[in-house]
Amino acid sequence: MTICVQTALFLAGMGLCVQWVAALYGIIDRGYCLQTRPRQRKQVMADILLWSAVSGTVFWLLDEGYRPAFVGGYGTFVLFHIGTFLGTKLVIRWKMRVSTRR
Amino acid sequence: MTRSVFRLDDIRCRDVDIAGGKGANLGALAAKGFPVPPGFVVSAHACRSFFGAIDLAGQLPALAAAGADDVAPQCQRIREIIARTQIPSDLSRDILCHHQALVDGGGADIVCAVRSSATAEDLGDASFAGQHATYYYVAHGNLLEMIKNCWASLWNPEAVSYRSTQGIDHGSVFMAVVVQEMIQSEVSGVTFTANPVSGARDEIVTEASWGMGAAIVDGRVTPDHYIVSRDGLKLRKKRIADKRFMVPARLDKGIATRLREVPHGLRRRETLSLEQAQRVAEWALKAETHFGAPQDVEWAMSGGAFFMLQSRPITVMGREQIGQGEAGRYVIFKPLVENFTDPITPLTRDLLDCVGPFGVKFIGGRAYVYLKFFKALLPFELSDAQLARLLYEMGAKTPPMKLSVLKLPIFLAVVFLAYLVIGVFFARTRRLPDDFMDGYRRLCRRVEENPALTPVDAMWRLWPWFWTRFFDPAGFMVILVNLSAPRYMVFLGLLQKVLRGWVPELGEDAESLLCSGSEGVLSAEMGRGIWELAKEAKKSRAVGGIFERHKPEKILSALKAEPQAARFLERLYAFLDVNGHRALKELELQSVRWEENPAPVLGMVRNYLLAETDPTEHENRVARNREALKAEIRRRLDEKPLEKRFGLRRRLIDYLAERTRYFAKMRENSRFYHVMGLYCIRKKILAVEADLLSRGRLRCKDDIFYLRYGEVAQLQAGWLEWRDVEDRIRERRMEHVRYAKMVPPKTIGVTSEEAPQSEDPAAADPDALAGQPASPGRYEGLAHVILDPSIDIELKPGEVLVAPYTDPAWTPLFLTAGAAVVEVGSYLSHAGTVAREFGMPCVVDLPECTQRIHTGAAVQVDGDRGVVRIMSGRKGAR
Repeated sequence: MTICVQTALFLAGMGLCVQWVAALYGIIDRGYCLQTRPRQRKQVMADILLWSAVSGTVFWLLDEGYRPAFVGGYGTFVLFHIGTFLGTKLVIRWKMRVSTRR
Repeated sequence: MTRSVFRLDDIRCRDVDIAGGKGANLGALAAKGFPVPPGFVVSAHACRSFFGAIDLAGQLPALAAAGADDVAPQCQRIREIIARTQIPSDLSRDILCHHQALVDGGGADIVCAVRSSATAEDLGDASFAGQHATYYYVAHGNLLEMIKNCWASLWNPEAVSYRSTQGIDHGSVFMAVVVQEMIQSEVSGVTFTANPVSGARDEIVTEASWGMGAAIVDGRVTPDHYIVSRDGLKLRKKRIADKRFMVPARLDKGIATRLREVPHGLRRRETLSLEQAQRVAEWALKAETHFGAPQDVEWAMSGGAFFMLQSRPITVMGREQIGQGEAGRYVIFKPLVENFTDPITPLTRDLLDCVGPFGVKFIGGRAYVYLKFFKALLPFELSDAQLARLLYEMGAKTPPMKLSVLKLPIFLAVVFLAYLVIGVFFARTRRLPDDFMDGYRRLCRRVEENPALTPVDAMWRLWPWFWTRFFDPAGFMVILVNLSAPRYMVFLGLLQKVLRGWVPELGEDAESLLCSGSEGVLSAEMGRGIWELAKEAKKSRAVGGIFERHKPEKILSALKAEPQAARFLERLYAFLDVNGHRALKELELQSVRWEENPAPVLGMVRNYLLAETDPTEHENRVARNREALKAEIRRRLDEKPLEKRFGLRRRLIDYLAERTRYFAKMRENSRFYHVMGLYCIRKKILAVEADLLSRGRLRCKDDIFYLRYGEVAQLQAGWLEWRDVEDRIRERRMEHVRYAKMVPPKTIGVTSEEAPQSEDPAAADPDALAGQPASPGRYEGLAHVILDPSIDIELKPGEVLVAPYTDPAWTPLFLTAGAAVVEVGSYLSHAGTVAREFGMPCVVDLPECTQRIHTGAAVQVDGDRGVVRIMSGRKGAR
């Protein structure tokens, strides 16, 4: 049972992290209009606060024994996301070499 | 001592070791009395002796050990050795002596064609098409150099790589060289002893044009087209083309470009009389009898005499030949079909390939999906034939499928991983402002202005399939939206479900009407922009008069000369500043953009002026119908429990409709920016082309699109020269023309399962054509077949648009059309999306509808069932 709960919490951590990372991307995605459009600025801030608050609340509500699973899910997704980015760079470098050689 | 040079008529079919494949073939024809131009062959033995003298064998171990990156420099080294070594004096004397004999027979001013003829050309399946060099207009002064160049072309990196992959020993291949008098032809052409498009064996097809044959075979000129029957050589079909260019028999001094404009009086004149067409067909049939297989004969006529330049087996007999030799199983990717109605050029393919998505492959210039890739991903028990049908009919009603328990865990793992990768994209694109992709336009300008970025760099910057720069996401934004936007299908499906559940009385087009509206859709705004230009043109009688009097190609120059047109031109340039990257067939990099030639835009303005229509009326009518539908839904929902108090059902319906509209708009707009990126890449290519033209490494505009990207890089680096690529370009242009004439096969390596026969009574109706519904509604009107909107652009209000495909360049026609019928496409295709936005019925996937329906025929378009009924008027042959 504990393993099932921990797995569910790990996945929940990942899922919440997806939303949290996407909210952070709002700063970059709407960077061009944050200075000039207060509505967009507010929306980005609201998204970040919302997903941080949801994640924080879930963490706070959890029993101490379950917290590592949730945080693990969160951290795993961050690593996965950065790893995908770096991996992509390698694939691109390889593909560019292949294109020029053809 | 072995003889090194032979007269062409001394060669026989069996002499491949001496004369190579091409030389032996020509020699056999000459010996049998075919009118082959006189010439001689420098034998493969001469090449062997020459290679022996420069110790070529000593270079081969280094070449064999070279990695992929080192092949080109190694080849360059060998070619340099060949270039700087003199041909032995006795051999050069022998060659020049034979050349003198040609001059004595043909006149002092003759020029020759020097063709490579490798001894490996007859090796089983190996095809060296375009890898070995051919030179034209060779005179006494450069003959020896060109012969050495032919030998050196054995050491082109492509030829070396090809031999390596075919397992052919480099040391075993030698090159004979055929030197032939170039016939100074008035008319030349190609004759096929079987129809190369339909495969019909009872037809002999001849294509002829003025001057030398090169312009025909490489597709630069639309030639006259003659079909005669094999039996009795009776003329079955004749089409006289507008032949705008020709390759003259002689080059003017100091001019490298070969194409010349055909004098006006000759353009529309037929090149062959019936007797001449029959004579050509007779010789072609004799060649077929001699070789025992259908032939593709190149010929020329000079001073009334017929000459056979080359005869070879027909390489492409029909569309079933496309993809032969491909190992996997593929099905054509319907959502992309309308983007690639014509085959794409090799350079476009290479550049798309380098960023291309997994599982998609370009075969015969068209996009196909790899079945094995999708079979591994989908959790259903499907045969290849079933999967082919499923992928082909994507967006239509899918057949029932059996879930595979064994594949389910893999599927769930893939979905989970996909969620981890794409989930962030989905969340990022949930609620973005309409102008969020404007940064992409700025990025395009930055890329364009940076000369250090190559076309491949630009491709990765503007068309990456994954994000490449963390803090500068503009380049990735477009694909991000493209990946996320298909969610509109989910919202549309849900909307359909709740509407049918709560308000079953509504018509079949209810959800489409509810989600209609083209506000913020850039391609629709482009159509409105053209309408605004038409309104501006109407304000001035002088400007309006120019549009009435001139053809689209002449309008711009006339406007520039008219002082009253200044305001209109200002508006036109402002329009082009936003939309100038658009074009017909805009995913093809070779396509000329509106900014480069605004004639199509001016043609559409002219269309509006002549049609005297107001497209906003149509949009207003759709908006009124939408509001009426909303009121109807609200009235019916109010009868449900608690709805009046909380309005939950209505809110849910409004939310789903808003989401559907939002994501559908994003999808359509992402294409607008994708095309903008492609124009930027096109500009990069044109800059490279200008540089290569100025250095003489390319001779004709647009030839660059028929090179592989690596070849362009090698031309830039000086590892390849014009003479190395001339033949390849020619071969590829020919192949391109052949592919363009064919309807691509639906599947390769597998036969798709046919959809079950419809129980619809329309299926039994001989006047009904069944396709795929793409936008609901019924409409009756007169058909107008438009094949190319840049030429035929006058669609009267309310006419039914019948088109081979549509892309955003066609959008303005939707403003005046009453309904649309399109040969290719799916529910998600451009035609369907725009028709739904404008609230008009649309049927897609009706192969050959442009031939079956004729302009002026009364048709009924049933967008609910995907059926078009021809009610009266002429019908095409089935």
